[in-house]
Amino acid sequence: MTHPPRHYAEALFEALQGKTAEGRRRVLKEFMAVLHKNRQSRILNQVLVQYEKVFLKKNNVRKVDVESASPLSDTVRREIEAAAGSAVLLTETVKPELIAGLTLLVDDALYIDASGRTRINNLFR
Amino acid sequence: MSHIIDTLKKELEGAQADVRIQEVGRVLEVGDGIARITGLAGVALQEMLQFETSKGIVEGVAFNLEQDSVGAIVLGDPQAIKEGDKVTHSGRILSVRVGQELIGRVVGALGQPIDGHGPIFSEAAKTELYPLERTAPGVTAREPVGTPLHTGIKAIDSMIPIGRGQRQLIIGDRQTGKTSIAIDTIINQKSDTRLTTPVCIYVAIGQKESKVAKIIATFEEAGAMEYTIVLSAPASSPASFRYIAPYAATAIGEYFMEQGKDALIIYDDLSKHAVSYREISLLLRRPPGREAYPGDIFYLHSRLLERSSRLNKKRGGGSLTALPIIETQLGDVSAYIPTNVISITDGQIYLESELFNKGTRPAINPGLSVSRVGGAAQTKAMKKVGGKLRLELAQYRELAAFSQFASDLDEATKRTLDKGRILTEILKQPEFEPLPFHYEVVVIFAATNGYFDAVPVDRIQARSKELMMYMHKMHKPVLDAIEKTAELKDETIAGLKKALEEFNRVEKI
Repeated sequence: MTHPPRHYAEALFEALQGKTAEGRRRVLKEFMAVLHKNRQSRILNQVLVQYEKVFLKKNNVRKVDVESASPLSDTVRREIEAAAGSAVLLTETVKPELIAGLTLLVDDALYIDASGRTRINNLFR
Repeated sequence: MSHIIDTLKKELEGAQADVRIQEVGRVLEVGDGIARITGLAGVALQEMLQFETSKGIVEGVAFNLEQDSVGAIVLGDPQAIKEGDKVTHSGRILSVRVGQELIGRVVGALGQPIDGHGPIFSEAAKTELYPLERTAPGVTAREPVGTPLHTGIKAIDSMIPIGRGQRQLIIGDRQTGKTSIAIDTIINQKSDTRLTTPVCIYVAIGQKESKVAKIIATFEEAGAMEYTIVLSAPASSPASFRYIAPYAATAIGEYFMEQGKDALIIYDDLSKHAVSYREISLLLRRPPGREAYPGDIFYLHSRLLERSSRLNKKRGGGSLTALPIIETQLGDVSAYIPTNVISITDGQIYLESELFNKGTRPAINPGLSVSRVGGAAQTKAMKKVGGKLRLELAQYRELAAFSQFASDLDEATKRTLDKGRILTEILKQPEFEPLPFHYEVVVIFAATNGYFDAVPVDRIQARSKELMMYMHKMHKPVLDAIEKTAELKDETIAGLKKALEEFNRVEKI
């Protein structure tokens, strides 16, 4: 019986709720056995990606990856959290090649480019 | 210099935040020329994607829109793409750049030059893009097919005529002369002085590169590259390129058709195209159907071939003639892909291995071959001389089998058999030697009216060559009259009969 990755991810999330560390290990072992039995071990990668999405959604957390030309200040961090409207899982990377500003990748789906590099590139286009 | 810097400073200082917001995806997995992407919720089918890799941008096309992921075919180097790479969608569909500059060039599946003669378009040239996927012209935009496209092959032009805007399938087993017919057709296009030479496009799908190189050399030798474009997606190219190659070539053909010109496109061959599409579909886990082909394998070819048409005067009067090639296995025309394409096209030219091995080349079976356009695509001259050919050959075939067992044949049967042998011999033709249609008319007229009856069967080929040389040297006005008028008027017939009688009196040229 085959299932799409999202179904596996949702089922795994529900199965892990309220379990101890030992319980979670047992659930994960059984989960792998079910994937193998259904001959869908190859979609594990996709299940993990979906699981992350389900986990964040259920916990009302938004994933925000920030690349900035210089380290973020606390003010900017607070502004990002306020703009997200919920708890934020913030990943910061410093990329001097952006020249100025920053880029944001929200929930792996929305890309906001407010970098100086893009602005300058557009000026010369 | 300082003025430029000041202007730039003002721009940067006075700039409002110029924020770009776009939907992105991430690569989940990549391999075998396809990629699976998460995200990109708003992507459209057949939309161009851009993979941002460490080696630069690699393009792809969204092919499968699934609930949790997008399946895409990669149109660049798939080795450059890694799991986790960012993917954006461009808002454009896959297109190819078109223009007159393509004529005489050898290009790849995306229209990029591969002949080593430098860029196709100059920097100043206007960029005109034609989408690979396009709706075919509607019924009211079309006109019935009525102008001949002469292949230069006597058997085809007389019994299975092709018109400009028609789709005529060339079908047969491997090594039966399918590509040779296509090449002869292209070479012959410059010989018809009454009509404009169509732009010819030869699409090699999944062919050996050595074979394609040989074909290009043949075109160059015959002077055909002056009006031909070769588009190649060889066997070594990824399945995605072999899949898009015929669509790219059709887009190029449509460009010329919409300019009011005639174009000819040869798909060599669509069997390999179907296999490439099957490969992509199976890799993208689409449900397999009959023979593991995906369910829309018919639509793959029908939407391609429907774009070949003849447009009405209001739309410019141009045409796109298609000669798709299908390879059968052991002569089985009732297999899946052959029956699909037979039902789409306006006729087929069926080549048989048995005829080929017996020395009948081109190995056309006139009984199983048909042109649904028929006489509407023939000149009046050819209609007159070719009218009875098919019937006489059919009668000959029927009696030939019977005569193997019968010992005593009546005179009528013997005459039919002799006539059939002469006609069969007359219709043989070496490859890469297409004949202008007025020569075809003369030879077939001579054969059907008994002027070769006294010639031994093994001398007929040589004698018909001598006839053509004789007509060219001694009776050019008759040839010119047929060429110019495309008719056999009474005075032309009288002149032709006189010439043939004189020729028969001459032992050897």
